Amino acid sequence: MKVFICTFFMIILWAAVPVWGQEERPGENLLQQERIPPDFTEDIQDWQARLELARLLSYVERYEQSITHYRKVLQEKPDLIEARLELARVYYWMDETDKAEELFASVPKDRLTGEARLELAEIYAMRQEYDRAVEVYEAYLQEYPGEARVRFRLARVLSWKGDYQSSISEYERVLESRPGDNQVRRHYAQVLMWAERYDEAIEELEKTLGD
Amino acid sequence: MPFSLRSAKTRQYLTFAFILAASLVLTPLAYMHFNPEEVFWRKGQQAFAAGDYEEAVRYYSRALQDGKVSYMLLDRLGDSYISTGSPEMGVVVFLKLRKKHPEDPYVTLKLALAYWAMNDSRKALETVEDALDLKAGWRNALFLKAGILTGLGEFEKAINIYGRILGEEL
Repeated sequence: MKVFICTFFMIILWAAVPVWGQEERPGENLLQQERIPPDFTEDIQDWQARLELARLLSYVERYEQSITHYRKVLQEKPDLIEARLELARVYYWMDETDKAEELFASVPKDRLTGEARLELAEIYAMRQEYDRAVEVYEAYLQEYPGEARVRFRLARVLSWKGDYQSSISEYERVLESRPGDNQVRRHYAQVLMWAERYDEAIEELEKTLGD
Repeated sequence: MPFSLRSAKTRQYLTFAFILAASLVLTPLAYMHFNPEEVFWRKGQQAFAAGDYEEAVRYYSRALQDGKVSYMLLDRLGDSYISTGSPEMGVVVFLKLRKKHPEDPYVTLKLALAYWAMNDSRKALETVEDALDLKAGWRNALFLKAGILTGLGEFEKAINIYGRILGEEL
């Protein structure tokens, strides 16, 4: 009966609550990017124009074209880490995770941006290489312990690998900083269910109903 | 001949030495006193080269106050204002520079950049068009125009401009 109640709650709430942590599209930062003045003392080079074009094409989801231009940029500027990382992101968004991982791996670890590390962890999670994903998230959280969004992802991966107790602990830490986040609470309840702690799961699901 | 402070030769050498030392000290001081704008300009250049734009703004402004007006000074001052997050001051400086050099596409493009940096995209776009009128097909102006259009959400237009810069059909 408890399982039935929990499942019923989950179905209702799943449909009702918007998804938290919706992924950004590649090139999402195009509109908000910091306006660093280009140096107009020299003419803009082809690769500079092509890089901007590749970014824009990825933003408008013309991924194949975007890849072509990123590749051309990298032919001219093979050491341009930002192009390499951005191209990896495009592959990641196209679900070509092998190519994305290959590119991420080609970047020295100390040059990987925070976002790139998180995407790499997502790739590991997608491939069910949960231990590797957990390792990346934990390393990231050591540097940025206040990143609830990343802790949430860690909690999810821990639950997928069956480590419910650790997952629950991480969810509790997320909820400490985001007590009103119903989506996190809903996931938390789900893990409580998987851990067969049905009473607590029901309690948590009831909280998400509000008044 | 024994050394003596009282000898005429010694006194002569000491006088020369004193005059030389005084010149060494007084010449830069006199230069700073009579040409402070040049001194501030040089210091501004040093700060700019070191990437300390706040300091550069201070020195360039002092040079301007002390009477130095040059293309390079205004250009660097405008750039420094943009880099320190005061693009509205950059606009003022580049407007002043454009008044002196109305036919210079480079100055017009810098002005467009300053408008863009202060989020006045429409004005930036108009000014880029002015730069393109002065120098048709200029890649730098097209590049900035594509960036502004991207910010305005006019993606297809921006893509076409990048294609134009690269000479490719997209």
